[in-house]
Amino acid sequence: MRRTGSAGRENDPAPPARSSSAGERLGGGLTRLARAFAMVGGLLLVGIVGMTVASVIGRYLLGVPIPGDYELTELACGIAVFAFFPYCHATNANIVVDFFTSRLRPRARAVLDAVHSVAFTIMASLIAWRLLVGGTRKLEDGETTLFLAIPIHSAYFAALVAAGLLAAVSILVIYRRLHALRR
Amino acid sequence: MTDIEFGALLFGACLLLIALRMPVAVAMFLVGGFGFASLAGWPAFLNLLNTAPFGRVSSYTLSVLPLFLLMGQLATRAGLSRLLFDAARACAGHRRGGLAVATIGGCAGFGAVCGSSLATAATMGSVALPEMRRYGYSGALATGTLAAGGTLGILFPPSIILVIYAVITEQSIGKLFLAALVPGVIATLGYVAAIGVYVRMNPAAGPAAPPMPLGERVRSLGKIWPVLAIFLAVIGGIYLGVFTPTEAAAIGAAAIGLVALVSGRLRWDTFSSSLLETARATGMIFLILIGAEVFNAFLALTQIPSALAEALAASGLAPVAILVGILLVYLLLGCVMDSLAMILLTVPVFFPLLTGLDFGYTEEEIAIWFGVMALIVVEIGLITPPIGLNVYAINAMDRSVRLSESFRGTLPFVLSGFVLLAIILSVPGVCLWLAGLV
Repeated sequence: MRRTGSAGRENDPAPPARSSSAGERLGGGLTRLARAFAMVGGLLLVGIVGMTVASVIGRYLLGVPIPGDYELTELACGIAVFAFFPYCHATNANIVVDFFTSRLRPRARAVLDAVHSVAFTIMASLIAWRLLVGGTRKLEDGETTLFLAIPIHSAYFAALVAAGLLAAVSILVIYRRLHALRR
Repeated sequence: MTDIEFGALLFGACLLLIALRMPVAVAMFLVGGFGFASLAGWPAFLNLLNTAPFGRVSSYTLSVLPLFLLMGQLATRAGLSRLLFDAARACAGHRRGGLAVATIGGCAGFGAVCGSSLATAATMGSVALPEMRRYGYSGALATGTLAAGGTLGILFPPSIILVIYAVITEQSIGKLFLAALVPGVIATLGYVAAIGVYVRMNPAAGPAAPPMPLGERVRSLGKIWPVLAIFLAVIGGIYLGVFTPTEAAAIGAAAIGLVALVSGRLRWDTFSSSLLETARATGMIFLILIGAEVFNAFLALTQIPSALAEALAASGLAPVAILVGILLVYLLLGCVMDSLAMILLTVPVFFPLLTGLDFGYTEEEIAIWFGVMALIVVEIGLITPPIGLNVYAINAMDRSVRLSESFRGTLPFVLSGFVLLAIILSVPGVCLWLAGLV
């Protein structure tokens, strides 16, 4: 069993070396985009930290918290996490149990991984599709948050962009795994 | 086929796919989704997906996870591990086995600002492993100590795995953190005792290091006040109800970030790499949480948890026997499975069963008691073969130590972990007391 990549830096995934193949150039671009999304999500997280600290200070020193700090945290956290997903998948940070398959031949493992990358795409596409439907329903219902009346659908659509990138990255991963099989 | 049989079949299918290297999140999502759709219809499944993934991810309670992960990342880069190790070494380094004791002390300190076992082991490892090897410590003792010390990262709050347990069982994160505190202290003392016994039996494994001058000792102890202050603020704040766990995590992350900034180690490149590492760790966990959300929706439809609870209640088995049986299942699963996947797959099945049993405690007390025991079992799984994750991570840092040596080195700590488990099993008050429940 392993948590791919949780041990950290040594397998920090630089985008693949530049090459002439159009597929790989597109892949490099997608990976960089995923990284940029992850940075935006990370900065959103830092924003939550700043706002929460300000709100706690405000609550105890001035008697006024930042209004709607909880709902801002919820929405920002949701968007940030979705923004993390494409980078995670592009850098192969999925929790995988490889205890039972560690004695298989590398090729057999590569076949399994290729199959699973298709399964991943099915999941990612389902999530993205239903975020679109769910977000559209929230838009039609005009649902908003309690205090600040932020329209919920805006958060859904922000997450949808990230989920769309996740689906695209997952297709890239299929391409890479199939490519690895041919070698 | 009844719903229960169908549920059991798909539960097995999910385990099989996970064993065949399918990412845990995908297996739970797809199998759970198929099962849900078969029982409730595809429109109901698609409806569930309209809101479940984003709803799961945008939760105030769960926002504590990325914040604690960020805090741990910043702590890793702030050089705190060196300060903590030096301070612990100032106290114990001149004794036989003292550097190993100092490593445990450093791990306990780092665990107080980091919620992940592997990160604690790896971060302390980069500091303590070269020192121990330099002073002639055996590879078994040095790597075993570090692998075991890492588990203090999840026993001492903050603890990622405890947050997840709290969320799926709908318990208070703050109470669980406090409940794990005393067991964390006992585990630390147990590890120190294990080192003591080990070096008594193998004096050559951990020779005494030269003592530090008194002035230097006092200075290095003085340098760890920020860690102590942050830990006390975070945990004390939660305990006193001054702020929510999410707020505590945000304040902790800001404070550690400030310490890192002042220490001059936080530049743009280290900052951005902590953000990216936080992104990976967070995404990895939340994707599984989405999968688990779908899987549990399916499991609830099959009514497996309640059927199992009824069957066991009718079986006339003593509650403690059932509890011990569940812990044994966890020990076995922990040997071959990822701890997070194990908790997310099994707690929804076992939890209703346990809270329905009569231990003479309230449901909340059972929940917290069981949560702490599950945490310790997870911790034991991290340092036992065949796949003690911490042992692999630390062993990889020193190629001159064989893997079998490292596993031999963790043995005293595994025994100490079992003693801790037995203590908490027989005296639940150890964890319930500080949580204010006894």
